[in-house]
Amino acid sequence: MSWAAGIFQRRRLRPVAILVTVAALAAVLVGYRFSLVPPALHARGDQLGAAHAQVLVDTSSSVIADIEQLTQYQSDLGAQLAVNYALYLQGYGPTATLGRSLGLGNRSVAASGPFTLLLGRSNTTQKLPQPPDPRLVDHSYRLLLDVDGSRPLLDIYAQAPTQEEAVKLVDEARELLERHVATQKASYPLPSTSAAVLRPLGGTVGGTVGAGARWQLMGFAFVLVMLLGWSFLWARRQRRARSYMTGIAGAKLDRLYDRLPGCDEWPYTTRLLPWALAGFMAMLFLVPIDAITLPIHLPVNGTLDRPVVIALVMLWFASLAVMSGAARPRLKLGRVHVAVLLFLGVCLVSVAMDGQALGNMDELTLVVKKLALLFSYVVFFFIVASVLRPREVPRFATLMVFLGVIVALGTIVEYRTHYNVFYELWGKVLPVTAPNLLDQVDSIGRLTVYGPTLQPLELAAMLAMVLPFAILGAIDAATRRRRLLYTIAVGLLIAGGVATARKTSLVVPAAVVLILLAYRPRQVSRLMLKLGLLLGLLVHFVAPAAIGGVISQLEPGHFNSALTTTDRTARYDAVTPDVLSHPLLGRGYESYDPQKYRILDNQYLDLAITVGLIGLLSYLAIFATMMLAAHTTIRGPDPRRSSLALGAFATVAAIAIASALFDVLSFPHVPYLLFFVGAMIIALREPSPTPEPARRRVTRPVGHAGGPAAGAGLSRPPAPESAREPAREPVLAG
Amino acid sequence: MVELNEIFRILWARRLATAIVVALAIAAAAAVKLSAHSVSTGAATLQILVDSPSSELANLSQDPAPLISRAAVFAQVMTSDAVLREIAKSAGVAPQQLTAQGPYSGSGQVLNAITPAEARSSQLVAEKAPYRLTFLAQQDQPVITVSVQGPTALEAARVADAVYTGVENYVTTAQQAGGTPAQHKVTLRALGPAQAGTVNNGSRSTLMAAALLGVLLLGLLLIVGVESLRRRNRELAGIEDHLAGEFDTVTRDPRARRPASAVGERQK
Repeated sequence: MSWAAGIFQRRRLRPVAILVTVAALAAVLVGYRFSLVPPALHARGDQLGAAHAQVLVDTSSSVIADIEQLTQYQSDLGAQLAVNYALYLQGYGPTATLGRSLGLGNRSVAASGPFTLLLGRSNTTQKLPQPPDPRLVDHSYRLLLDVDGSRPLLDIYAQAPTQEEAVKLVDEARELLERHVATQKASYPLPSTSAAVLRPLGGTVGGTVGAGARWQLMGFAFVLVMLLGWSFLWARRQRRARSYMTGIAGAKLDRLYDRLPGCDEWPYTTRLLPWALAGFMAMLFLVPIDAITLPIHLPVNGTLDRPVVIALVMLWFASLAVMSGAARPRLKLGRVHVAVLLFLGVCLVSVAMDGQALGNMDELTLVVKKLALLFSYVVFFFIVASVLRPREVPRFATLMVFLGVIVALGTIVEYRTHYNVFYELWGKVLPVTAPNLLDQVDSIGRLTVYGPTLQPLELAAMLAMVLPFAILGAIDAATRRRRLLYTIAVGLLIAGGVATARKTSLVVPAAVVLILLAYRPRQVSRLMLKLGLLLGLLVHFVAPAAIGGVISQLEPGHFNSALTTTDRTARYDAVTPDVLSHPLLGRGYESYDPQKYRILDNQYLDLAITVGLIGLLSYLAIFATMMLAAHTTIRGPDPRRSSLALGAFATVAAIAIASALFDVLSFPHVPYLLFFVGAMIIALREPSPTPEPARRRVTRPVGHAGGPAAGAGLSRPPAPESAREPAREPVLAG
Repeated sequence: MVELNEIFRILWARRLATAIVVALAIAAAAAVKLSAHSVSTGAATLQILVDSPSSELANLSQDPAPLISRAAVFAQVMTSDAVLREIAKSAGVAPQQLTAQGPYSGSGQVLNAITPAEARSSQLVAEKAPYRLTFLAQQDQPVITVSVQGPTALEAARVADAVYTGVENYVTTAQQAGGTPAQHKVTLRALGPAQAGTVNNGSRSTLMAAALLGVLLLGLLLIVGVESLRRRNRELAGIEDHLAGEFDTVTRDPRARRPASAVGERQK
């Protein structure tokens, strides 16, 4: 018996032991890299040494001390010399010399700069082919020289694997420059009033960034692998039961095509909340909400969406207090809710953890504003998810397409006539602050078309979010007229998108179509083949030259060289110190002010900095849970639900892609839409409330315990505690 | 999906765990309050005139242009380690507690440039310094505006006043080393004492609220999540056993087999 028990124990423990081993291995690989010859473990460069020093380009009698020594002319000459020194230190010879002095052998250090004085940034000059760098450069050792072009000061920065090496690099660079200047002076003696003197302004200041990053990342990798492995084992162990449960749940859902007499659903309802949600959606599409600040005092921000969300909350509470039965909003906590709350919780903790630094840098005000905005999104999501019913989802999807078409038409009008309908009309009744670049041409010659948003990328993403519903509407249309209308809608949405002249306007819709193709290859490809030419012509005539402009940006020669692309890729390296300094929980939600630091145009990058890897994962979990929930419905028995869930799936995927192209959480139109679509996915997983005879005094229906197996007529039904019959609809008799 | 009343039931059933989470949230808020005592809530400004021994303010024949150029250079020199050490010495604080690295807020925001990784690393190293100094030269006057952020208004004012003394010490040392004639000496004049005030008054309360809500939310989610998983696990295990039993019945007793259509009917 003990032998059998031992086997049992071993069998149960084996997967756990394998999981722990894999997790430990993953953790080690995150922190160290292996080398075979010689066999050894080398720590990865996940901490950085930084150093900084300043040099004044001076005269023998210092400009700091002597009033006679500095005129504007001399100051300009000194500044020009500083630029020359900065460029000299980036040359092949000096970087190789610095590499040798740091013990790098034949490898040079990487050198760049200046960044305050912008050199070599142009979209108009012809890019000549660059020969390959003849040097072997070690990019772990970096030197950065900075001057502002108007003052005789040279800033020397260094980054190296350790603080000591960074300090040494700065000191060596300074000495090398001094030697170079001394050699030049010796070769052509100058009077003391003319000879440049390099005056160090203090010693080199150094420090370490991401001192504990390695252990944090290793711990994170261990926990992540354990969690993923445990989830996999759990799912594997119960896969049969889960598929059975999913089948039962699917069987319980009613078909949306079937008529349900006496139902009380939007727009044929007197319930106020769905009407309020429809109003909110109309506002989202037609009003430049983030450009309107109402002259009312609110605790955080007076932009138009806040008072409306507050009104929604009050209405929701009133409905909760007054209504009963199915008319009452039903708040349930599912996986999507958990992911959303988890993200909110991590964001709050990230702010608390780095609060001191945020306070010192005067960034708490911004953080509080952003937290309030996030809180608005979360509240909106909870309200919509508790109010929306499955039979209302197709109607809201149609509303979204209709509103999207209006926005697309407005965008096309703006593109062709430079007249922004939304800003102009709302400006007549509300205090609208129009963006500075409204209908202006940007640095690479693109017209900035805003529509009702504050950023062309936001507009392009918003139109792309509606596109899957329009495409599926065209596929599923029962009549030829409806199909034609939906096809025109698809064309206008694409035309509106490309009128923004942003690459996103083609990248995101292309991804949307690919997703739809993956689920419905025959139907979608047939539609695209049938209507491709028609859509192309429609887009071309409605927004002439727009599509060509966007396609030319995506051509290989332009795509890699345009500043909009090179700046994006440059950010990955530039933010490494920020990510390493707080790898797990970040520096505080949305505290990376683009005005102060840099515009990232990438929500994932922004979250990696501000809420760390944990926050980034919880943000991804929102998409994952929404898409997973939609996927189950797509594979369900009801074709209508499946189609709508597919549209929602593609919309969520569009935001997941758009998050890599701009900071979506800062522009409220897109997150509100995302959470609305997320709530639609949740509603589609629920059965419709069944009408019941009306009672004068409406009371809550009494649920009775009934397991899923009971519905299937099995002999021994399990009775899950959470499974309840759907609430019944109170309707007035007669 | 767990309904709202079910969540309350779970939390009530796990009273001890809920109480621990609430206690942890309160402890986190208290810890944040204690650690946030050095959050900058004081701000002070001071103006320094870069002048000649015969003051520009008194001398009508003096061209101010060279002084304006010099003020711009001074504003940048004042951010250097050498000058910051002098300021720290005058203020009686450790040099590591002072930084003049960006990014800057308020009036200094014009000095912000998009920084590459190497320069950003240096900024991050200085991020925790409680005293942040900004030096801004005016466009058409030989005047430098000094802004100091510190833990309190009083301390910020003390450091702001020390800026003048520290810079003057540095310049005097340079003049002595270079043997600058008295009539050529750059002269610094403080235009009055530092003006101080309190800013970001509610920052500590904000941080406390964030800690309290964050820990509470995550803790309660953990309790509800774990309990839901356990219930789900039990539920699925029950169905698994049930299905295994059904499978055994079907395979062992052929009479128990039913046509698939019948099963379909019942499911409908």
